[in-house]
Amino acid sequence: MQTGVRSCQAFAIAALALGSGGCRSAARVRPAVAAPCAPDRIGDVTVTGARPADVPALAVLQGTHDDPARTARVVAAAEEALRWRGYAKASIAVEREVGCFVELRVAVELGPRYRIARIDFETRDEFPARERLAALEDALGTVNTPGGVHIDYRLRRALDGLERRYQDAGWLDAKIGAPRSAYDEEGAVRLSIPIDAGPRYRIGAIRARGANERARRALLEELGVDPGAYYDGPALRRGIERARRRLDRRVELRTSLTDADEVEIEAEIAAPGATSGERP
Amino acid sequence: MTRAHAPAARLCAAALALGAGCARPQYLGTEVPAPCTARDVEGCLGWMMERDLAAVELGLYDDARLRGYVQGVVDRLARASRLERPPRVLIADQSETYATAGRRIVIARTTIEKLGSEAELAGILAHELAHIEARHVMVSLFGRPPDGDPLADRRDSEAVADERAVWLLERAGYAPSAMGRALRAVLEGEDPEHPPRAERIARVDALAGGRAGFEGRAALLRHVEGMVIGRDPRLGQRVGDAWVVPALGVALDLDEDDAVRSGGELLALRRGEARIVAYAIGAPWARELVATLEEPRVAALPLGRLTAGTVPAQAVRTSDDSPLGKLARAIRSTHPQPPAGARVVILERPAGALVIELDPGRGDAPRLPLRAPTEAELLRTEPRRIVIERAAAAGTLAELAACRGRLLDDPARRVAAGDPIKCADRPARRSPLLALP
Repeated sequence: MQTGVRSCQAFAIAALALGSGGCRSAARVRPAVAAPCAPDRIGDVTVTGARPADVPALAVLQGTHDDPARTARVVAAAEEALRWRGYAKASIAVEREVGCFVELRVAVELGPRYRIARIDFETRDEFPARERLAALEDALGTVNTPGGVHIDYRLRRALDGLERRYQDAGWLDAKIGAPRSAYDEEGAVRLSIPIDAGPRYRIGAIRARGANERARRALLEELGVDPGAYYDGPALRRGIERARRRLDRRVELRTSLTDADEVEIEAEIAAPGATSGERP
Repeated sequence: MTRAHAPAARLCAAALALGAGCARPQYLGTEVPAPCTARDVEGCLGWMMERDLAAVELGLYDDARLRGYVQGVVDRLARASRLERPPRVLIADQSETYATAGRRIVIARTTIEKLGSEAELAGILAHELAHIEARHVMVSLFGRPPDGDPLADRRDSEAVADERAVWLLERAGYAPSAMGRALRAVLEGEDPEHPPRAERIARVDALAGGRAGFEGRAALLRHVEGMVIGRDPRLGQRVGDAWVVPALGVALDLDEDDAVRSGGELLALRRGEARIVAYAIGAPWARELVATLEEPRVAALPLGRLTAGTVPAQAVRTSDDSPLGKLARAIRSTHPQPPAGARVVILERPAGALVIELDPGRGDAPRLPLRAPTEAELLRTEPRRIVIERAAAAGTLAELAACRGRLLDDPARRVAAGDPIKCADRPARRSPLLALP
């Protein structure tokens, strides 16, 4: 149970931490409202093996209804949050003791704090190495980058994005495999990411269809892609957007791949009426 | 390069993409603060969200005295919590109250308006403070997507925040029973991210057990006197045959045949086959949108610079691979903005900008005469405000017929003679807007 005096002491401690005026100000703080015993309410949460601030979602259960199923879900979320901070093998066990209130005893096993020592890409393709690594880096450089922590589901999501960038840059058959991770006892993680880039495709024949000769010429001008150049998805999309606006028509694009690692492009100007562009 | 210097190097790349020099990464026209350059994602995100409220959405309610008072309540609650430092409070001119990353609580002015005492205000703030204590915001932003019901964890977090709020009220000396009253006052409907309204109220009432404590009704009413009520018409309101945005000092004349619809501060208009949408945004965000327009045409009007152009396709927008660039891009995608490919006109004013999205249909873009509002229009868009009156005698507010037609308090509230009563300065006016057929 709280009293005004205890409240003042608590405030004095807080005030010291904040560098302010201690109990002079505490005189303005009203005494805590007493809470009667309630065996279905969590009264205190004690944390061992870590600081309460390391498991904040559990620490705030103090004062809430005792709901063991919910507490189990919060434990799972708290373990996940520790992984975010590099404690890849952290575990949390909770014991309940019923008295005036329910006391929660939270035992945290942090384990080593892991950092990524290196990330290797198993490939010899010519995709820019810096861009490849940057595509994975997350959360202001604290996740999935050398020196940061390894969060696997975010890495896989980033790799999906990287695969699309390979394809946009002409490696249309690129496949990125599941990353492999190795954790050592000194807290270092090494990641290895297999990439099967396949051939890098170039633009082959480009044909325009529909409308009249003048419109088709305008379409090819706006597409701005040259046979022989590497396939460039964003540039092609920009070209279609330009053509759509200039012609005020919908432009449909069809592509086909040849055995000579070329992309043949057929762009068709749709009949009047629609203006939204189709993307490859 | 040593590890210690690596973030600065990465931010160099970010700075280039964010439109600044190498040493000065910027976000919405302002240098990013230390958390953004010190790998403090939570602090950086909180700062960006605060910056967005002012620079993107014109969403801050500018009342230093009221903000100071609400901050004082949060400070008191924070002393009872496990936080080392109190969260920073912002009052928003929007309808949502929430906790954000970087220890910030955004409380809607329209939430404050519904509350009857400082203890009820403390209950709402304590709920948000509990989210910050538990770091629920970071989990919902960055946590692993759950395998089962994606909202189950969210509902747990909301229930824990409600219940923890009762405990924080107790510890700070406020009446714990105020939590249930606060929830009754502010919760209107149901949503899947929260437990059902009745369940939330029942659970906090059970914890509070009807116990009393400091209420602070007079203190709250003293501080909300003069506060704007409801939606602020200065962010956009139809007045006669014009759409008036006093916050920007702009009016847009409408044709008598226009079909007009308004949702909040948004004007949606149909003129023949053409459709137009207009809304106000902050000046820094407007400058960024203008800079990205394709085929821009600029005209200098007496009202300000008018730029017409086309919003580039999404794929054309620069992609910045730096961590700061990724963070900024993720937040920017949530800003109010015209869709890719839309034709727009942006009028830049000192206090912000008016964005007009044009879908001309099969004809030419419609004529949209822009001008400064008249004195009469400005008078018509003055918001309603809270006034505090005194009870003439003892009784319920309904019995006393207090503030007839202007009462903002619970009619069943029993008061003593001389007690303060929360009222509006004038009765609400029915919106003159027409609905689209």
